[in-house]
Amino acid sequence: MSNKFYIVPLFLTIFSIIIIGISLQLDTSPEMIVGDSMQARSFPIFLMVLKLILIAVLTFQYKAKNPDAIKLEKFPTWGSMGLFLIFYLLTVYTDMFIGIFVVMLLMGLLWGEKRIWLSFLTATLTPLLIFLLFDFVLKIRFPRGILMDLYYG
Amino acid sequence: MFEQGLTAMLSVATDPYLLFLIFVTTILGVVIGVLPGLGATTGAALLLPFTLTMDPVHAIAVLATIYVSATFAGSITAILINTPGTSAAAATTFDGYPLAQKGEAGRALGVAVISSTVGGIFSVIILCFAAPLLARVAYEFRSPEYFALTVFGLSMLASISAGGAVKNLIGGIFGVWLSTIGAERVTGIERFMFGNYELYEGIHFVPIFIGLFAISELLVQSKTVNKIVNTVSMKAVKLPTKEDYKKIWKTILRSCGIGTFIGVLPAEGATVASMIGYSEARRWSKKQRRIW
Repeated sequence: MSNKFYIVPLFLTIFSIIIIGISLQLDTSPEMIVGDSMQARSFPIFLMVLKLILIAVLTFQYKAKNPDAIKLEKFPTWGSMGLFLIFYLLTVYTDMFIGIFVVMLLMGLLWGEKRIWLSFLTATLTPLLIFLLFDFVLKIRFPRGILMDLYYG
Repeated sequence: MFEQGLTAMLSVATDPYLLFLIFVTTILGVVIGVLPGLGATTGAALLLPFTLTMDPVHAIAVLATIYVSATFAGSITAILINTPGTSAAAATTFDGYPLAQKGEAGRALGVAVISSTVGGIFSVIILCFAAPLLARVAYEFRSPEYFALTVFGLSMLASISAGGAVKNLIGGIFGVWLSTIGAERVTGIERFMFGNYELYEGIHFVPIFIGLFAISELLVQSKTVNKIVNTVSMKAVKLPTKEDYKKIWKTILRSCGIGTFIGVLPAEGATVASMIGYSEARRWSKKQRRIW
């Protein structure tokens, strides 16, 4: 059996252990406040221990069933995930609409769109239509950023 | 007494202005429902200022219509692009989208329309005749009953999708862990916020749903780059045939009962009802894995 099977259980185990570690760092409250309830750290630890037990079961299932080989995803999938990170950074440090424009443009190109003008047009019109619909029609305000600061003042 | 009520109901139902308001609000509700991130509650909140100057009957009709139509419209995007417009339509994606991929999006939408309509009418009839009794049942629902319902809901994870019981339960535990992010309610201790005070009240339902459904669908689509794939197409909504009705009438009736019962309970809602309804439909289905 390929070692790739253990990637998912291993990743989940590391995640659960990290969460237990962080939970153990949480403050504890005096008994008189907690009363019949439980400490803030207890429930996440309980969940992660339960998760570790299920991960062990999952690993044994993999071993017993010996499923087909796991195929790691190709570049467009990893690239798309990377673009979400870029979207987050652009939204936090510049503006959400700049983030939508850049990510839509790059995702079109990443997915093999040869007509750059079409990607550019879609990336421009989509945030514009979102802005018009939400701001003018539904009167919902957007988070502040470079462009929104200019607009809202 | 009954005749008086019936006469009053008919006079309201035949009011042309009211019918016009319901028509316009239905269209608006559908638009709001298909937009991921905007749901029935947001729709009702957006229309609330307009209803302040209205006659009470008209105002209630507008608010009820926007709520119902937006909740239904969530299933349109759930069927066509595998992204529920509202959280209540999450269960619709499980069978609706695969049906759309088979080229039967119109049929799936038709079934969704009929089921929603029957469910809506059924619940209104039950509300008219049994509201005091249902209110008493809801009042008797205390913490142990809510706990039992929650455990029941979580136990459904073992059978709700084809991914395998263990994987589903791991996903469920991750979901419950997500709900622990933010300030703990009894002690106020901040959990997993890492100094980000936007997480103080936890992560809301809508971003999680959009993240889980829309982004995962986008990543699935990214795997089909440079491949010839059948895109979802639809010419018109196709209402169910006689054969379809034969297949689904029991499911619709069962779901009507579940939806009405869950609906009268405080703090529970359409999402819980639709998930339990879907789980029961699968359990009763001869095919077990898929209803269709």
